[in-house]
Amino acid sequence: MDKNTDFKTIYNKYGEMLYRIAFVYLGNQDDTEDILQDVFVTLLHNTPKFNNDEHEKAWLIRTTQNKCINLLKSPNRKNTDIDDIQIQADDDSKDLHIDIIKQVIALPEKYKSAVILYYYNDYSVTEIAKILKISKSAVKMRLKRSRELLKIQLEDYNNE
Amino acid sequence: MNKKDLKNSLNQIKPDPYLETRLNAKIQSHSVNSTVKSRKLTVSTAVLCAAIIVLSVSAGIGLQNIPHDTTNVSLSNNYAPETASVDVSQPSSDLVEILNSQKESANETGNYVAYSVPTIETNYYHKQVLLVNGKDIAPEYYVNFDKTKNYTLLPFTAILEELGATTQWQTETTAVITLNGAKYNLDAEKCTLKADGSDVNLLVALENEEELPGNIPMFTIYDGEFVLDNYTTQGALKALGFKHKVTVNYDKEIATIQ
Repeated sequence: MDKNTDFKTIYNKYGEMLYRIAFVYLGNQDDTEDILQDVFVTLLHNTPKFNNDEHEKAWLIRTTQNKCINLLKSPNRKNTDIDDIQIQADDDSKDLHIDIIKQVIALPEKYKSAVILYYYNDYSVTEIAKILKISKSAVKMRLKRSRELLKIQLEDYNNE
Repeated sequence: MNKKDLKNSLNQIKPDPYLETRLNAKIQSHSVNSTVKSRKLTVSTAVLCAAIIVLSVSAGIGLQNIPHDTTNVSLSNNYAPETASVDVSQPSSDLVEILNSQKESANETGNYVAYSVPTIETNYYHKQVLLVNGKDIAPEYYVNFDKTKNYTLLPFTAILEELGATTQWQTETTAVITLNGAKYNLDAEKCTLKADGSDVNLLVALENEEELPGNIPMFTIYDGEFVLDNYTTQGALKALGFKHKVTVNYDKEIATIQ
């Protein structure tokens, strides 16, 4: 299988999920695309050996997360104005969606992957612990704190 | 907000339908660029070597000694039966200009100056490397090369796992590491690693190694990972029975555990 086919296969399987994770970390489309490009180049260039699909998926998630964190630490990166976020919502609740996404983007970095994997991808706490290589109690703690933060902030939104 | 609201909102974050095409094009372009860069390096090296040889020769025999008589050379092949006449006795004007400039530089400095070596462009992304037994695990983990402070923070448990250990996190900061049947208790907050039933902390730098300022281990918990400086990592590996050497190239940002 050539690299072109490899890319298409892997992109179709994981592209949207990785895009979502990177976007929640970075908050803008340009950086998100750069990170995805970087992740796929790393994958196709390094060709790490995976034991199974789960291993491959965990590698991609962790690599995406790690590259996002590295980019956020980079002194050359411009801070993204959280008000500039554009999404492709097509229903009447677009503003609410944007506000919720902003709240997720504003979460501490370490909570973001757990939130997406749990609330969007429907992974169990055990699966997330394996993917992120942290304890189940750490996953639970991150989800609990995320819930607290999101709830409080969204209540503020509702009160406005 | 309930779980469904959050899921619906996260569902709005989608790549546009052309992202796959754009990424594919960029990745293909990156592959081509890498190949071109590699070829450029080869060609540049060849040009540099040729220039040095030419300079050496010209310095030895002098340009004025090159004979100026004309010799006609006939070239022919099946596709171009016509005879061509090429003057090969005279160095090209470009080459003479280059050689003269080199000679001038040499006269000024007393040394021959080679052509400037073309700069090889680095990849557009910052590439850190952490090789554990030859496998690069840096993309997946937090690695921080601090050249100014002369230490590197490495993902300690990930390294041990690459070397055959398993890690069971008990809380956010404590874990049990199993290695060759033996259990070790890691406290990432206190920076201690102790064999089950022992009070001896294995997270100490080797005495003969270059030591950290103040000989205090540098560590942190970053996004759930316990990261530890390279000197203490080296000490811990030895204490755990590994013969691996931890080496760091700060300029290239490559750490090797072999």
